[in-house]
Amino acid sequence: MWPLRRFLPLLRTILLSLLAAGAGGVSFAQAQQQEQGSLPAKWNEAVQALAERIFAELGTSSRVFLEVNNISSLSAADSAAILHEFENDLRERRVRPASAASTDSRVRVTLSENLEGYVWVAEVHKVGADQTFLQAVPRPSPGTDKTPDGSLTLSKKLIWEQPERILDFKLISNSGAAFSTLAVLGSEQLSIYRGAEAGWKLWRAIPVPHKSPFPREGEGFFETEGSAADLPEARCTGDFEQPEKIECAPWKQKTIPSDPDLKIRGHEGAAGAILWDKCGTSSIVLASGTGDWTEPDTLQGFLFAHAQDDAAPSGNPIRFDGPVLSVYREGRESAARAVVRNLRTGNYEAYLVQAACSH
Amino acid sequence: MYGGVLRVEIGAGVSSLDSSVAAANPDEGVWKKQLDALVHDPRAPERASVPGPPFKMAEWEPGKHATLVANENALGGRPFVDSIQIQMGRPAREMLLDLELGKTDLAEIPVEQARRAAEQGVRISASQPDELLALVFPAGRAATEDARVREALAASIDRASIVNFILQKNGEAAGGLLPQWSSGTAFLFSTAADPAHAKEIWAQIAGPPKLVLGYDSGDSLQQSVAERIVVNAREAGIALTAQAMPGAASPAAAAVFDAQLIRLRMTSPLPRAALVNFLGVLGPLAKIEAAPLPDPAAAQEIYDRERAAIDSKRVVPLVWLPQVFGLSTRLRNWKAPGPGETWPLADVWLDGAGEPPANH
Repeated sequence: MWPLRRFLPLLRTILLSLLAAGAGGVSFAQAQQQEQGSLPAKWNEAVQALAERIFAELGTSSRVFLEVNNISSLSAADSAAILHEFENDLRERRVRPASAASTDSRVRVTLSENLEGYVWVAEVHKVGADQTFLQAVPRPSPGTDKTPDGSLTLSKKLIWEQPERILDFKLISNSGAAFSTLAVLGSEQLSIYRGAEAGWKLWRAIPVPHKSPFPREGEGFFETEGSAADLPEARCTGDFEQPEKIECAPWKQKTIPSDPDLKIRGHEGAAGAILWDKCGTSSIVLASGTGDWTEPDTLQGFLFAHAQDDAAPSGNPIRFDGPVLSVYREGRESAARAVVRNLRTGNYEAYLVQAACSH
Repeated sequence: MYGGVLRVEIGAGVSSLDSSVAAANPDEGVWKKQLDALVHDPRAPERASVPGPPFKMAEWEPGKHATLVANENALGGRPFVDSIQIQMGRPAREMLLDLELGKTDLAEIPVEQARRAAEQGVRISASQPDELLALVFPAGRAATEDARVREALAASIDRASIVNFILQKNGEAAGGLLPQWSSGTAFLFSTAADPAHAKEIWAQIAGPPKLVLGYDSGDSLQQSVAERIVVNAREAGIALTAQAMPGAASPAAAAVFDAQLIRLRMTSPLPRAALVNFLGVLGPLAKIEAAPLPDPAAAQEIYDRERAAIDSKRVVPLVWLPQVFGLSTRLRNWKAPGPGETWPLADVWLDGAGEPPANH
């Protein structure tokens, strides 16, 4: 049963209530709108496609009662922005808003969601015919998520992904140009790729020797200083920009200690790293959540002046679609390398995480 | 922590791991696949030198018992537990008792007993609802050829009472053939009972038939639901009785039963794959169109096909059921498997068992 409401006050109420109830963080659409002044392109296309079908069913100069429900994970701000675009689009097609009492034509748009993305549904009711139109809409790309709030702002960039396990990775610049060598450390081999962000091409794969099977919780990492990669039973050394000279050999005598465990209260044992750079006079720590390997995870930035015990969260965490397996600081920067296991795809993902400090 | 013996109990009895030997029933088929994934590496023929599956079969007693030991050369690393002891063919009541007494680490619990198990102190883990219990009208039955008969019975069914009283709220009312989390469009299919409409339609039918609803004799949940449907139907003036069938729903049973209850477990979380699989079963049984959906299929195409199946009134979705598992207090890192996934036994560990791995 469609409720009896006047359309314009309803629209005003919906928009105001949605905006007032909006989350503290900035929604994806709002972030994009700040940069681009419109919905994300894919969402705009979806709105137009759905509006086109609604219009084809109703015809021009129709008067319609429009209702929008959000049963997805879209924020209140995002759903308000989508509603706004729908109304604009229909208005441009001369489909005029009306109250429920004054028209027999009704459109209910439901912003739903499934495993693969969003599903926007338009139920069109008019005398003699009911139609339901669906539009699949992709979720925002994980590689461009940003959390602008707080004095520490984290951002992530997906560098590489593969089905085989990733222990660590390293990007190496080449004579002032953009990163042109990518080293990916796995449990069985060290892979060197050459190219640019648009496409990496395998240059050389060096097997990693080991007598016993690689432990399920085993670690491997690129040393922060120098040019070497450490694994439980082997060490790979050489110039990563000249991969033909890289050698992976069993340890003669293991002398490089792994990083000490985090001491962030509530995050003991989590994956994390202290970054090289500072935020003012405070040290920066990135720490994962405390769930297990079966849950999505986050990286949260912390600041501390003296001891990790006093570290306080700063800014919003960034989210990942699976557990964060390792975090290593990236050189002498305010950045870290993070490896994640994506629970949706099963792939291992290598991210560069930047921590921007505003103070 | 590495080490320990994981104790598992299952209701099905797997008589053979040989892929050429067909499973006797769907439950055995599911467990045959589980065991196969644990001890066989499908890539082995092509990559013989690659480390294999997580476990090796050490003991095998068909239909009764299996012992799997950790494969030191498993791809992805050795499992955390040293071995798994699997007791097969266990009645649900005994599995529940063993969980309560700490005699087993992991067992599947019938969904209608989940709440009782939790009240008895058993740790419970439930999957997303991924198994559909539905009522099907097999083709070829004169009594149900009139669409009004099917529509009246469908309208009389009170799904809310099935969820609340039989399932103890461990489940969801179903109106379509796909759950909301998979398709995003389940909300478009009504689940509300309309006994007044059922009475109205039934009254229009001249010489209304007496109907027989069949349920799997080995399935206590189906029996409870069938009896509830009989009550709902009689309240709408529909003459319906429930009778046990000697097995799961089948075209052969259509010789006796005007309607049958059927359980359909999703084999994939993806809506297209799940719907195609369901229609592949419903097609021969109820003569519902089962022509293949394009791959990939648009959301509109999937919805239209699902809507067509529901509008035929040949299949009446009733409830979505989760898979429910009972866990011992020492079991860690368990995650309920999704559709098409196997039990993650290589990833669980036992608290307090064995030594930490050498490199820690």
